Amino acid sequence: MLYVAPLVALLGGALLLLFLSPRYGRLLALLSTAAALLFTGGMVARPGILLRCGPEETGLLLSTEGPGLIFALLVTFVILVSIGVRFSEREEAPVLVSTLLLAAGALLFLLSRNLLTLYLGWGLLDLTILLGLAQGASPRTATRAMIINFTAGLALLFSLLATTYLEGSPTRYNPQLLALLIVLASWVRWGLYPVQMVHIAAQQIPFLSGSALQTVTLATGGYFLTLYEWPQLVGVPRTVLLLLAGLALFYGALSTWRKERLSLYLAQSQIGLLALGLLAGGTRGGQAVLLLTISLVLALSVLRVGMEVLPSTPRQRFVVKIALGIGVASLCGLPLTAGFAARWLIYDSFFRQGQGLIVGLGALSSALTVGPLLGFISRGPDRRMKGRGGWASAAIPWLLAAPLAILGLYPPGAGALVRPETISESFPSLVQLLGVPSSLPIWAAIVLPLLLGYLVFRFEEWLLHRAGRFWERLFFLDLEGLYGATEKVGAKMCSGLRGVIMVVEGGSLGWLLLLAFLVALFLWRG
Amino acid sequence: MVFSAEQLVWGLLFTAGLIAVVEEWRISLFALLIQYVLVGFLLSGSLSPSLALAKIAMGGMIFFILYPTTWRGRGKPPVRIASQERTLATTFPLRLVGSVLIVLVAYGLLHQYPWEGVAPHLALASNFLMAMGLWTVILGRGPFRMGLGLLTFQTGFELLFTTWERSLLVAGLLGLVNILLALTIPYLKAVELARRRVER
Amino acid sequence: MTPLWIIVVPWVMAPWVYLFRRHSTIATFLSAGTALSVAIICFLLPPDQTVSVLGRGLLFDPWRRWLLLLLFAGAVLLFLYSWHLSQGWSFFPFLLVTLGLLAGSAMVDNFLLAVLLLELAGIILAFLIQGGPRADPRVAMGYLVPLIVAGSCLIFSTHLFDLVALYPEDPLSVRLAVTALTLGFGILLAVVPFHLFLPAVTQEAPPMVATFLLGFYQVVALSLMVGLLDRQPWLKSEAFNVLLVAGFITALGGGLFAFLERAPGRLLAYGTISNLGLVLIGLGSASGVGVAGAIAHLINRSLAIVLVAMSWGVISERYGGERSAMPWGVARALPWATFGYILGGLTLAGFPLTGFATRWPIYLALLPYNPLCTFGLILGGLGIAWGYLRSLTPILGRGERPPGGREPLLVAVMIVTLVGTSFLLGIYPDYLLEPLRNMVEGFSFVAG
Repeated sequence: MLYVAPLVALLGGALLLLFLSPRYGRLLALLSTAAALLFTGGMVARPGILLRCGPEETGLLLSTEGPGLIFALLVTFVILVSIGVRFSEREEAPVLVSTLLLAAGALLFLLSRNLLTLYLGWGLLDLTILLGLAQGASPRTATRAMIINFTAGLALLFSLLATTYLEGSPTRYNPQLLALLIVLASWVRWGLYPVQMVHIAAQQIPFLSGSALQTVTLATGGYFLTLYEWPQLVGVPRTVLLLLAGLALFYGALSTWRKERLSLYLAQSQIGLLALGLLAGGTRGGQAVLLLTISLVLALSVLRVGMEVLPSTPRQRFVVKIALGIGVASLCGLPLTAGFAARWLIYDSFFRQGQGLIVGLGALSSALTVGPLLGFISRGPDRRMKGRGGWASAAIPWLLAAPLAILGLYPPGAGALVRPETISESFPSLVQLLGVPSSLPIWAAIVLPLLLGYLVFRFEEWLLHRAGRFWERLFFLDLEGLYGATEKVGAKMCSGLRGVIMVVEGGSLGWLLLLAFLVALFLWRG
Repeated sequence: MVFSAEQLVWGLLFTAGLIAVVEEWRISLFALLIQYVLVGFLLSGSLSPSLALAKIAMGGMIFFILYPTTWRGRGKPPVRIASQERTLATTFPLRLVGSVLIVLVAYGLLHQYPWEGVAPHLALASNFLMAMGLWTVILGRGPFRMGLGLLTFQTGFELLFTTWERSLLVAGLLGLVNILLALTIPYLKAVELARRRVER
Repeated sequence: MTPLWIIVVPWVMAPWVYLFRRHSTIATFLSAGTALSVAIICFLLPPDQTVSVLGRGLLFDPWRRWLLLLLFAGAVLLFLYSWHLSQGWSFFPFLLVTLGLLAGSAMVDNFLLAVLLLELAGIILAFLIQGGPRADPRVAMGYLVPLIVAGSCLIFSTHLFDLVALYPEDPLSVRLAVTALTLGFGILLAVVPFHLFLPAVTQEAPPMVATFLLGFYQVVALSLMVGLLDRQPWLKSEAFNVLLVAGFITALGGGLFAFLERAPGRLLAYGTISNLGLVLIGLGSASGVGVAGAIAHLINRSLAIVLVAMSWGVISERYGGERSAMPWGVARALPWATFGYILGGLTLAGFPLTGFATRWPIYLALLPYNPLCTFGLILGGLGIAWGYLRSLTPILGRGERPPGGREPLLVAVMIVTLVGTSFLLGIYPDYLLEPLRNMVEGFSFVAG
């Protein structure tokens, strides 16, 4: 029963919230998530098969033996902290319900061990995402997100059918097609540019649902990649995907200068970098995915939570700023943070593959993001001059920032909770990372952008003034115009075809044509 | 028999043609009634007289079901629905020419694919009625005309089928189908009239 | 207690319900009570009985028992829904008469009589489809014409059965019979390209009438086809190929039309047409897994149809009559109806936790023979999904609150129950598949 307890806790909490008074809603949500976290932690102590129904390859299979457990812990932990922010304030029941359901959907997905269960988990995740989007996302964004997600889910179904039932049969499936389907599914699950609709929607809905949505999207995307590592997929059109990943990298980095939707663009930039790393064929794909996803989720959550906390004294504000600073430092890749270790792994694999150019691009994108992040730190929290929160409120961001520092000092901590054989190689320690013979270029790639970014931050006003029009036109990169135009053209075409169908169906024309066809068929066969 | 089989077939062809070509409701309704009478005479040669009489009685019943509603709708301008303004397809010459073509097609099909075990005059009448019935349905612009076409088609089909299946239960159920069909036509016609009043 | 009660009880109660047709509460409880009683009779009657009426046998075997249980249990839901959301004054009494006719059609052991009873039931449905002055009468006529033509084709095929019995070596008789049956069942079941009448009917007819036609009437028609395949062994050689081809064209065609569509009524029609294609494919596979999957999918399809129709019915009623597009801001005003609509639509599309479970056995049955067609079936589901997901834009938008207020409590409870049942079926399909697999082993056309 321990194994289904987290799901029961979350689903039961969501159900009870529908009937409970709003006064106790946040408390109930907190208790449900805490229970889910405890039970998930309990699975660490007793890993095993959660549920098996049918053969291992083609039946339902949930287990806690893979890296999914780490992501499950991460998701429940971050959501717990997010619910705890502003604990004394009421939250609307639909928001709390959608948050708990998102967590439940994520858990089912993260504990899946084969394609069929993953597909079912994908479905539940999409449904819970829909409930989250209904909390205030732009209707068009929500529609696009759901359509893309559902279509990518079918790509998963295609690959399930192709792999499981055509192996060994006279009918050969195309491994290139299969690889492409897996990449498509993981690209969408992750919400990587140009299908970043879920991340956009996460910025539009209330903080709690938005934070949960972003966390769940990143965690489930990361988990998917640990199951189906891209370097192992044969025949993926790498050039096209490299271009797209590079586009995501710079789209995210440049857009951070717009000073809105910061966490969206930071996420795009960072996972664009990871995507480049995976496509370049890095040997430490699983470790990089794990570490970067964890650091990204924690760091972005620190930023979001930090903006929600309401410190009432200057000392409390200072404490919150330090926590935010750790988050920013991890996102920049400052040494002794989790982000630094993740970047090290990625750049190391680039250099091993002889992809120095990509390292340069990654460094450049990092330099671009440092300025806005420093600006966020210096200006953001000061906007909230009047707060009611106490020291407990100020300490909450530290719950998320502290692991960033711990993982920075001890990277193997990320993989410590799972069995080593589930990660392709064991995690290197910090000492091992720093002791790599060719470490100087990696140091340069990580540290130089920080310096460059600081300089850019110092001359930010002057630069923005000189390049004002360029920044204003950056919104084209969001592809709203392209999607809108495509939808309009599609709507016109569908409207035209609908008209034709209605004319054929509505009158006698259709039956006449049918009759003529049948008579002709009859005469031909006779 | 009062009329020969050939005369009856020509009579049926004429009544079916009237229903298809002429839009005047009185003519169409009376043509339908005559159609049932002629079918009864045609079947009396191969079925028991009581069954043939039952067919005629059923036809009379259908006539009296349809008459009141169409009488109530008399004198009102025909339904002018924007999507079905008078087009070439619904003009009298085309209806006439189309009916002639349909008759020829039906004759040709029968010649090529004769019905086994069915007397030639019955097969001919049946084919004509089914074809003309479908043609009337295709041409029809309202429930009344389409309903007449359906009843004509059904009559033609039953003419054929009763030569193979002579069970009383089946005949009774087929008759019930006709009666129910006849009941829907005035209901739908009444709805059409009510909508027309609302539109005005 | 004999199986005859299943036919007679609804007919006996119909005149009483007709008397109270304008008093919705009395009519609802009389009708729902009647349907519930008959459902209980079906459940309690021991299977494998035969009753003779006018020299003809009425069979009550396990297959018919579950079919009639589905029919009458579904009718209870439809009656209860109509308590607060009127489907026309004729709905209650006429539906009872139709139920009696369909029960007779399902149980009678003579195919000709079964077709005639089915045709009679279909004609009565035309009154319900019209449902008063609101709908265009051309729609009801457009439904009647194919019904009569289909009925004639099926009745004609019974004569051809006799010819085949007399001249079994003659391939022309077999081919003619298969052609007549294909035409007849093709039109009756609205298989592509004979589906032309159905979208207009679904759009114009009251929601529960459309539900009954799509989700229950067609099921009885399909059961006649299954019975025919079981009893006429000479059909097997040609029929299964026809079923596979027709099923594939229908599944794909329905999905394509659904992709283009915006009007909720028409979208429902195309979604159900596409799902019927899957059922035909499952039957055409002639394997135990495929046939059991087809029947399970038929049940799941009926459930989804009821869910979508109930939800859309509430929405269109609250926003003032039949609408050709989704109103704006529905999610905030009618959350349960919105959720039911989206989930029902996604179930028709093969959503993983609801509709997928019963599609899976059909995919498995078809995959070894034709992987390309299997992938094509998945694309059909995608078309339906896009059709429903596109309506998210108006659903989640901001709009005026409906003057009619929230969903009636009973309807909201029914929607939630149906949603729960969909999930249950999606997560634990074996509860349905296992008994069905045992039952289909008894069909003579199932191989292995």
